[in-house]
Amino acid sequence: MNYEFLPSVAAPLARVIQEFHKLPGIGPKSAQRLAYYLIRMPAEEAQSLAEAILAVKERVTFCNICQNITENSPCYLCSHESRDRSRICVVEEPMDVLSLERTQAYKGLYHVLHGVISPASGIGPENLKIRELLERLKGNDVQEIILATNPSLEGESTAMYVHRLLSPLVSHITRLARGLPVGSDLEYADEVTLSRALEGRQEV
Amino acid sequence: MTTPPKIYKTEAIVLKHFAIGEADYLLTMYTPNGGKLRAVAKGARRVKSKLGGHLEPLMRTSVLMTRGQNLDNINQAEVMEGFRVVREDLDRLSRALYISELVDAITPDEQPNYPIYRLLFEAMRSLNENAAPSLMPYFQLRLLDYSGFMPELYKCVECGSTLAPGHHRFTPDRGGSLCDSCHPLNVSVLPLSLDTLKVLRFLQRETYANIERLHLEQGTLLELERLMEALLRHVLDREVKATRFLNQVAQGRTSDGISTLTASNTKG
Repeated sequence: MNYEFLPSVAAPLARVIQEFHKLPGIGPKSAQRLAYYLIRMPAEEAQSLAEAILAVKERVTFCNICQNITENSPCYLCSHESRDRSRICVVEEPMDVLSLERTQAYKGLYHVLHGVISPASGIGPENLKIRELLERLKGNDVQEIILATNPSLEGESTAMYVHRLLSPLVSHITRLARGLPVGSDLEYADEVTLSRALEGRQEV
Repeated sequence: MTTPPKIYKTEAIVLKHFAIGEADYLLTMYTPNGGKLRAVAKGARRVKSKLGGHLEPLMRTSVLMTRGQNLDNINQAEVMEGFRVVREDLDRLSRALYISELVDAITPDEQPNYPIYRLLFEAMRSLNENAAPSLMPYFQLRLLDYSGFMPELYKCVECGSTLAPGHHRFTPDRGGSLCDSCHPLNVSVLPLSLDTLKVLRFLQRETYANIERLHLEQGTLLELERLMEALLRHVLDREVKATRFLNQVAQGRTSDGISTLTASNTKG
């Protein structure tokens, strides 16, 4: 990613282009455009951008309970009094907590694994926050674990692995239902989803 | 010469997927007539994608593709076999993940190899049905055979003499068995018992229908596992990454999984 600049490009500018180029989805041309935009930006805006970048690295940590990204540990959700402490919803990524919170249908706590088991990429259970989850169960009265990993192959493997580890410790382990998404079409549904949707059908 | 068609249909077994862009997948698939192919499934990660559930890894699926500049695009997909039993059982799944990684590691891109497709299909079906213990060594040996790395099991790889019945040795570096009088320098050597040699010869020539009825002693299975692992490591020049997960799952079944997990955690 280190490429040569013409001597006519000012060194600080070349540096900023190189830094932008490291970001995901930013190619050489977008990096240049962003860098030239920075030059035309008012000084205070540039200052605030630089500070925001530093702040996100310095002030954001992982919650020592749920492993979610937070400014103060324990995080907002883990320290909130009205949350139901007997339920833990296990998710893959911090973004999944946002999605579930948006439903306003869940009042329990979360646990973020920060990834999924993917043997071919060399990511095994030891690379996820599974040990932290086991630690959390010690001494806490947890009634239910909800496995909310994605219904993909990796998500399912992770859910099954966690289930196997936790089944001697927690009496009630559930998995999010799998079925048809709102607004979809039966014609395009795959056989696994459709058969699960049939099995999970409900009285109307 | 005719130009290849812009749109083509094929069936395929999905080996793996990799998230690219906002909502796309880059898929690696094994096809009967085209070998290993890579293709892009646009929008497959969206909840309402018509492709999504039809292109998960380890599914046998029928696809309609368009040739692209670099990579082909998948326009339509319909799952033929979802191998649901494999998906819902951790032991079977860990074996299937190993199988798919092995096929991906050993096969070159776009080299048609129908026997490998048939072997992969047969292995997935077997895992979905009875998952016989002889499946893994059978799969490993045959995959090596069809990829051009068939081990020599009748002659000594050093002197070429026919093996007399008895206990022999096996060298992954030279790809075959050694007679009792040959001791080549600087090659790794593993013991090869007569039972294991017989099983290997059987796995090499019989159809899977006969092989799945084969009863294997625990000792023979273990020896086969070691031989195959050594041979594959030599051929691929690396470890198969999924082996680790395969062992973790197998350990979790026999002993208590938490202690094995915490043990491996403190080591790392």
